Amino acid sequence: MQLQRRYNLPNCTLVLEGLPDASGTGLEASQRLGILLNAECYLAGHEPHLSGGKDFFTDLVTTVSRYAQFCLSGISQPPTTESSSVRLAPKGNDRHQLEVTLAPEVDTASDIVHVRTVDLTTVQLFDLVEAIDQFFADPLALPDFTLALRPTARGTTAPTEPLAQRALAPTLGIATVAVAGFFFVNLPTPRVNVPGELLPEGETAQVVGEPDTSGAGAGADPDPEPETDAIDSSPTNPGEGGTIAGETDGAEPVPPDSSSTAQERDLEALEAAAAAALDGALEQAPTIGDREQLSQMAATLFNRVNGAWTEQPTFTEELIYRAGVSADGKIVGYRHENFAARAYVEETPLLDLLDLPRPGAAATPNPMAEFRLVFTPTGRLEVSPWHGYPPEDETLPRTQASPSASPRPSAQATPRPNSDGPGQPIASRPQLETLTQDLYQQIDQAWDISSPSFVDRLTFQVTINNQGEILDYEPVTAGAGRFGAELPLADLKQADADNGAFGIFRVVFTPSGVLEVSPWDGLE
Amino acid sequence: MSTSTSVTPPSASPGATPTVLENLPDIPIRGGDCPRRARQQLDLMLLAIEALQLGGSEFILAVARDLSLLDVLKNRVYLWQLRSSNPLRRWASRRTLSPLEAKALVAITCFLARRLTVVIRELLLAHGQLTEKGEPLTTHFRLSEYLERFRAHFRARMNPKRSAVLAYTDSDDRLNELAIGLLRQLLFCTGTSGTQRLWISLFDGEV
Repeated sequence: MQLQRRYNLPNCTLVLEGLPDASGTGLEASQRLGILLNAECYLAGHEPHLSGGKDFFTDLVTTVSRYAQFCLSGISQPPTTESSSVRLAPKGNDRHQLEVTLAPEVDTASDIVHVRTVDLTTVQLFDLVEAIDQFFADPLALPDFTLALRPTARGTTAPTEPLAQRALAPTLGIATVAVAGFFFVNLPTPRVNVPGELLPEGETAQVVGEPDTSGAGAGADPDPEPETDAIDSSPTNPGEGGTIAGETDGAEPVPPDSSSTAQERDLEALEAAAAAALDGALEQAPTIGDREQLSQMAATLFNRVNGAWTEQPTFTEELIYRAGVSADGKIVGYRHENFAARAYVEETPLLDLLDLPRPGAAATPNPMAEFRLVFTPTGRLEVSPWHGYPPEDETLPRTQASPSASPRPSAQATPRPNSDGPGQPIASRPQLETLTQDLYQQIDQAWDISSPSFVDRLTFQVTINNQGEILDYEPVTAGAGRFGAELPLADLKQADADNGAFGIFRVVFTPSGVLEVSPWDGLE
Repeated sequence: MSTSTSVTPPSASPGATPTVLENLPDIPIRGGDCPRRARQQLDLMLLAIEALQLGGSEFILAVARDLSLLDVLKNRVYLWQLRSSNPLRRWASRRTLSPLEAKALVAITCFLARRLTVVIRELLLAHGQLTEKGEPLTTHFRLSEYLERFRAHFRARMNPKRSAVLAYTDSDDRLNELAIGLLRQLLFCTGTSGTQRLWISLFDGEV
């Protein structure tokens, strides 16, 4: 008995003809189509219908089912096997081309293979899909056919964009890196100066990242200039600092040398010699304590150093030096007071101006004074006596300050006003507070703040008696003395006042016109 | 025609998979959450349904109740949050979409699409005829109404700062194309195995 199953949709009718499954028994088995003999697919508007055997039907349901999934996801499926007799491909937006390879007719002798092409709209295609889905859901037709839906695997999907478009982004990226790389390779390698402090004793700093154009260090390239030998031997003993001074006065202290290592060594030698000279001079030479002379020396020194300082500063912090200066304004020695001062000494004219004493001259030392030299990154030079200015008519007692001594004036070093003997320092807290107020009002009233010409805070150390009368004052910050005319301190000073008891105060004038007054040692 | 989704079970025990979702297989996904394209696709299909039917968002909740999916979709705000997992949304949330939530959205989409089968077929046929004749789409009242509503919904809810959205909102034609494409996809959801087909298609190229 032949069985027939029909699936009717508006645009598509699927008809299956076959025999019942012989293996089963019972009424349902006898109604179930188990062996497919012929399948017919009627598509509205496309005559004649498509028909074929089991192979055709298998290909049809497989291809259509997969294509339906493509319609839903838009992700193209891996191409069907070559052997499939049914193909489906999109054709424009709303068209789908169904291609069926028809088996050669049995009665015609020719082997010509006919390919039937049918254009379907989306609605027609859906009806075909639905007919097939209804067949899958039908328990009475071909139970060995099941709808096996599976997502398309990641790797198997065909790319949706053409190769040129996909390759554009990575190609652009690589090209950009290549161009950037080309430019970066052509940039000069930055010079790295290894600070001499980081190297072990005896080794010299070398410029890293730049080929040594001189060919070798000083050892491999014996320098014919005699200066090198003279200086090489000098730095070991500070007492022999004079060996360098075999050169004539005014001669260039830094010998021109093509070798950077030799130059480094010269520098170290000079620095050591300068420090030694300073120590030596401090030991032997009398100190200049005269106020006028100090002021004059400061001015001379400022002019000399400032005039010779032509190099643009590259340092970022202040360079502080303690320099010994002879009465005629020559720098007889110096010592760097901070690390930057040592590292950047070549940028200052100190080495050029250094006038190391002759070997024999040490026996008859000239009077000298110590000055504080500050080179600021902004290109400003500050010069002030290391121990501050002494009061008028009094010389600073000679101090054997250690090299690390603070330039901050202390209460002991504070010069007293002209007096028969030292008075009593005021230590009582309430009295200090009252005096602070008095002093503040006194100076504040007298200070004309209309146009301060200074740009830094000017600090003075002011000594007053218990009446609040100013006995004496002295500038603390470098340069504070130069603006004395603008400030009321000189007018307020009463040298003949009673100095039986005194208090020391810090008075700060700021460029913005703010006055600050506080006890020098705080309110302890 | 056998439709498993038309049967509403009396009650499902809490925590168990609702019956309507049982015929949707679990897909081994990387990360465990639904891929970006799936979240976008589900939200856009629901947007198309809203454009087809006035008060579509109300229907979505009503259908969720009918299909006993309120355990999954909870309430209006939660549904909105789920749809906002579409990265194109103006207020796109960073939250992800769990497979169970995605299944519920698939079931609702297909259920509503099946109800709208007649309209969907009519609009697609009309679009085909108009395109063939070269006539403007506005000549068909229902079609132009659908397209207009879809464009308005899309422009109101999608983030114009995203280039993917900008590409559409720039021209009506591109938005119309998107709307018709979604209509075709909805057509495939109306079939006997539409739910499974939509569900599986969400993971094409992702596993």
